[in-house]
Amino acid sequence: MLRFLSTRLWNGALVMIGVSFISFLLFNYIGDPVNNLLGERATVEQREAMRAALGLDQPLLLRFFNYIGLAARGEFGISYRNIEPVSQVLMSRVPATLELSLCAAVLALGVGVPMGVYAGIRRNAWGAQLLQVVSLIGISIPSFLTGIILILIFSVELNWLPAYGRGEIVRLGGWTTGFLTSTGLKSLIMPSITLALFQLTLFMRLVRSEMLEVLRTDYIKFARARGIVDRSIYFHHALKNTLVPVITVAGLQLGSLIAFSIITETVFQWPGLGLLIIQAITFGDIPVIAAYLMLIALLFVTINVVVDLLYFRVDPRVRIE
Amino acid sequence: MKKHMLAVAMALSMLFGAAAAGAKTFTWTASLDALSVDPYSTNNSFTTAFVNNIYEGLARFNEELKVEPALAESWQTVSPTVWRFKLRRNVKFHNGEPFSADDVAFSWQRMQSPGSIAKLDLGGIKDIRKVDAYTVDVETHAPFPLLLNNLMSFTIMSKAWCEANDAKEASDLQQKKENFANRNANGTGPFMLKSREVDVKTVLAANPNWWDKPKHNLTEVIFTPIQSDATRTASLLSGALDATVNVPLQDVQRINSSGTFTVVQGPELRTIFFGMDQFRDELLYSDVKGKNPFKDVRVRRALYQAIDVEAIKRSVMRGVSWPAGMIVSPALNGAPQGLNARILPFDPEAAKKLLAEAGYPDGFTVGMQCPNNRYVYDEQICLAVISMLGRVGVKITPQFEPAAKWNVRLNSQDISLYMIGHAGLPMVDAYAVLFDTVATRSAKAGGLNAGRYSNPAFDALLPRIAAELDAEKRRALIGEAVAITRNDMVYLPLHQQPITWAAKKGVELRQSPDNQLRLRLVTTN
Repeated sequence: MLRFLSTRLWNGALVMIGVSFISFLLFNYIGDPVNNLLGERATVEQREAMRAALGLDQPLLLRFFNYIGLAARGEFGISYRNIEPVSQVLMSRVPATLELSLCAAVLALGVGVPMGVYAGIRRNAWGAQLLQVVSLIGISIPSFLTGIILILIFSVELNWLPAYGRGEIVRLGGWTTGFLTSTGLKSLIMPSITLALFQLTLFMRLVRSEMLEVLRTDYIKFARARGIVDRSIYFHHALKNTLVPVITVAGLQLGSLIAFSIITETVFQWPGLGLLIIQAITFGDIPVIAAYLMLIALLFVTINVVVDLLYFRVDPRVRIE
Repeated sequence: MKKHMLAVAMALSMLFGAAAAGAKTFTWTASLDALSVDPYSTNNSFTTAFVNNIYEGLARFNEELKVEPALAESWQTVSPTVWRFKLRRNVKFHNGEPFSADDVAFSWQRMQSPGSIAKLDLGGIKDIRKVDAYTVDVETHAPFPLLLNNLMSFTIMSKAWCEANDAKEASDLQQKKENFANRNANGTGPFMLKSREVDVKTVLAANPNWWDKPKHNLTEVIFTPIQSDATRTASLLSGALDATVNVPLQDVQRINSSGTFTVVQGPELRTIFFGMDQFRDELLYSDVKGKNPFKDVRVRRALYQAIDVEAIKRSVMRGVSWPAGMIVSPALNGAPQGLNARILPFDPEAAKKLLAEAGYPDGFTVGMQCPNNRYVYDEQICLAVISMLGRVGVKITPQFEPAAKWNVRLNSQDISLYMIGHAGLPMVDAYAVLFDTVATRSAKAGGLNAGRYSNPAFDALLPRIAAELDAEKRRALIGEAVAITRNDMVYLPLHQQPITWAAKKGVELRQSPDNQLRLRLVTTN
């Protein structure tokens, strides 16, 4: 067990170093922050001075090792765009993204799984057919389009929900939450739906096909033969067995809800990490981009380790060596 | 249904409006937030415009972009290089401290600190000294007729406040901690900073003790940046906002037809033009080997005559652009208005003939470098120009990129035929355009002259323009310089692009051509 864990952690550290190095290589292609800092009118001399002051004139490898050295001590530098420490910038954006991802995950699982169960049990009913069609649409419409359509209907035409932002937020220590005010909750509705839609349909289709699979197995047939009521068969025996792959996928999907909420956050001006990274890329805010990529790599490494540990726990075969 | 909702909304707003009589909140948006409220930390033009609602300089621009007194009541020149400013008495900072010459002298020191970026625009000033409690002297390196325009970039901060909050130096990227002045402000201006959540919401309150009689009638201003174009327009239409700047042209009709909102449009000072590599002996991105076609003025003329600026106005700019015959906007200080007519007509046949004379009867291929998120419809304009040039045989390899990448190309002269624009800001003067884009490129001049055109006769005019104190003589000199750029076809001017704002009916934004929203002039009903 301990050896398993230490190998996993070692692998994780290698992944982190790899990700940060690749992200460093990418900085050559995102453009020049000096222009955004000094404005287009700066002279050649002024640009060179700024480049030297920021260390951008040093060779890439040297910059990379300097960065890793500082990052290991928890120093990620100053954001070029916000002129405040990067860790402070990132931390101020984390609550918005986590609250949105949490709502989207609850929505995706809470609606997607029951819909999948229904479509699996009554697969020939017209309702189930309809769900199949709807899920196809859900999986193929890009989220910026979903977002804009929702805004046009519920903000512009009906004026029910705010088109952008988080509404009124409440400060709880270092955390900010929109759960405690009515405008905060209202603001969560459309972004959550937009972000959840893809995952929702994914879970529905996944659960449906798993259910169809399980319902064909022998032990379900035996259960029926024994005269156990349908309800107990579907929810006690069948659903339980479909959930193992669902949990695995759900874990990874939660990671991608957090990491790839960029489009949803941009459409709704949701002040989270996704919006931050888009603005940082436009500006060439290298310290923020580097730290963000490290954070996301850490997130996925952690999720993978946790998922592996869950396997260790769930599947006895892994433990036999 | 929609009408019904509207009626309810109007009834509600009347109800609340009556309850909060007198309190006028103005909510507006732009595509990005101000980078900082420390006025010295950046020379980003949106940030400067935003912060100028809180901090003030010795002088300011009025609605017509003419200089008028602000924190200085009057000024006179003591010698060609020394100006004496009499400061306004009884001015108070937002926290109640009185304003005096000590604050001006301190602000100049703070401006010189290592992190200051605004100082890059103030290179003409040698020193600013206190003479007595309400008098300061400004010394320039050389006679400097545009000093007042230049001083717009120098806003005054409070000495006592900066010292008390450990903000004696400007925000600095090398420092490991945040400067207090980055998110807190204490100016003398018409609006006070009430709260600031970066990238989310900034709230300003009207300054009840402002020295000037307010032209605005606002009590509170809420600014919330919205990056996505579609969301910005939708939010306006949903009634959540009173006004927005940066309206995409495709939304103009929609907003105007809403009945409750109107679009405000006018020409920006920014002129858009194409530049050409006139330095290399062989172009980087071309099939012409061993020579550079753009070194031949006949080729540059041919391109000029092949581009139909009126068609660009009609079919790309939706009717809102102001075709230009020179690279400086006629609205800029010192601009020779008489030279803005197109010097040659649009004539593809003449263009083909010129190309044949220059030795390219079948045309040639060349790369075009364009930003796709910098100017109004930049990419679309370039696409239109590609098809126009194609008709005279010049085939284009497009290289369209985001501004951050395109800037790198300009700075490293990695260009052949490229789009660029200049607004003559922050001084609102024609000289800066000529100095940046036409002066021979060196460490200190011609920073935007990526095509590296070089003409000693033109360069010799620049110091004369810079030092000429007589406005009419100066205009004549600028006219001479502009005439050189026209006759030599240094650039291919297209147009002044539009500024497009929108507001609720009854809100007066007082748009000016420098694309800065001055809250002190905004009124709402």
